[in-house]
Amino acid sequence: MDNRIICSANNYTRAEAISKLNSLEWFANSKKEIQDELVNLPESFEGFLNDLCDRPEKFVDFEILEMEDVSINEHFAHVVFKVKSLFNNKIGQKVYTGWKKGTYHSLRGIILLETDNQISHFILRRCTRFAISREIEEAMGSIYPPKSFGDEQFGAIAYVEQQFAQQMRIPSFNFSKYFDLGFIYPDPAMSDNVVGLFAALINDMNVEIIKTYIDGKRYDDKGYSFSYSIKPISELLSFLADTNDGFLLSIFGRLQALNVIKL
Amino acid sequence: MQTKLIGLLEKIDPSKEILIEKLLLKNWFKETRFDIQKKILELPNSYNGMLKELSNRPDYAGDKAILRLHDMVISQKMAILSFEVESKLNNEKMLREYVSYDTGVSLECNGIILIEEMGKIKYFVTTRTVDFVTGTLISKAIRMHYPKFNNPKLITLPKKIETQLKKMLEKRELEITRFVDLGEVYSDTTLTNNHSSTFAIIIKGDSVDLKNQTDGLEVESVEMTRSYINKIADSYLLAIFSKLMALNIIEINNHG
Repeated sequence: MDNRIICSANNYTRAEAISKLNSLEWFANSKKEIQDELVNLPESFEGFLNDLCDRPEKFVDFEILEMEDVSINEHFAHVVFKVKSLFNNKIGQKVYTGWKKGTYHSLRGIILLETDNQISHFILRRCTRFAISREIEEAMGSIYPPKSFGDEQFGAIAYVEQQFAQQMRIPSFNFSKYFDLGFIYPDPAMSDNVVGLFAALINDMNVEIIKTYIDGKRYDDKGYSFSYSIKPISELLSFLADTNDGFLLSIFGRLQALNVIKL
Repeated sequence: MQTKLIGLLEKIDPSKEILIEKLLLKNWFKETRFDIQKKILELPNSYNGMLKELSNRPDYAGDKAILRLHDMVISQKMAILSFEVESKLNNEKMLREYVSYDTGVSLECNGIILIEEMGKIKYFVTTRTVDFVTGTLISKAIRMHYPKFNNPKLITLPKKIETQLKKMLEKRELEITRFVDLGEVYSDTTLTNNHSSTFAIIIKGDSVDLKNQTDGLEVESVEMTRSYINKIADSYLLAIFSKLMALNIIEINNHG
């Protein structure tokens, strides 16, 4: 993993953020109650506030005129902007939902098992997701890295190893290779959320050992219940045709493009 | 039923009656505070899709029982719903939230157009647009209402895209050789109930002139698939490529 953004950095203190907002025209044009709402956002919304400060007022063919509404709850902030098209001067509204921690705040990934120098298996999580009210096989995570690892390239990888081991109740992981698969916008029409993707290889454990840790185990300590499964790579083709998790599909698409997996 | 609620029900828009009837049978709705119930019953009609999703939502999500709707924030197009739930494993109570479109899930589907020459896929077509939400210029899947396919004409291809494709292919009519349903894709189940149907449309094009590309469409040779996948960030588009490779419709192992 290089030194690029791992998660939103929160460059501004609250005072700096307010000063930055005050310099923005759309903020000055917004109603007093909206301004008050923004400058008094709970501390946990610092990431969201920082992103707002850095959002360009003009972007290619849009100009933000004012914020018409902002509402928050436990995890999300929902904003409505009044915007002008720079193509035809039409006035309209643009709406999106942001995470309180900011645009960059999580990583999703997958573990691949190597046997005799060949990728032999992949590990998935089976999880009941409240939003869709059903069980889904999905990429592992989400992992929420700390704001900064300094300049240490391996700090982030060690953190992911430790998080995966903890989530799967495996004493420790030692990735033989780590693939940084870049970022994706999971649903750019709805949210500015950006998720980092990765895949990791392990070659110091065999299938039987992994199964002793995951078979028949189900956990509930992340606020949702989940279990793990390990599948032979020979099943990947039919798995990809059937799966509907956007993260997994993006991960496997990138792995094929990087020639790590050949179908 | 509370008198206040009965008073509200008398004013319900007829288009919502069946949905509200189903909702009233839900235990979690009965247990919801009156001010939140009122918010739901008074939702604008544009929210009927979300209302339908709510009235069909099971009382359990896996081992979580829905106790009540704790809060709801709505705007022009979206709502954030926050439910109080109880784990049946350890009786712990917690809040579970998600973001929903007013329509429930997005009514638009995400797809790609593939152009074949002499029976072989040679190009793919996507869109490149300024995206306000992410504040970026982004390559995206082609979004449209579910394409109605009436061999050999695709009825609902957006006019702008159809015109551009005809110009590029120097054709009066587009000849569709195959429509591939790539299934549903969940964008981010930690955030939203939203999912989209995905598809590929294969059209015949014996004389593609890339110089005729116009703003908004992105046309690439399939030989560029590998590098294209590494540069795009729209998860729907990545999911579409992943499915197309799994189905052997696009092969990248022969290309750089």
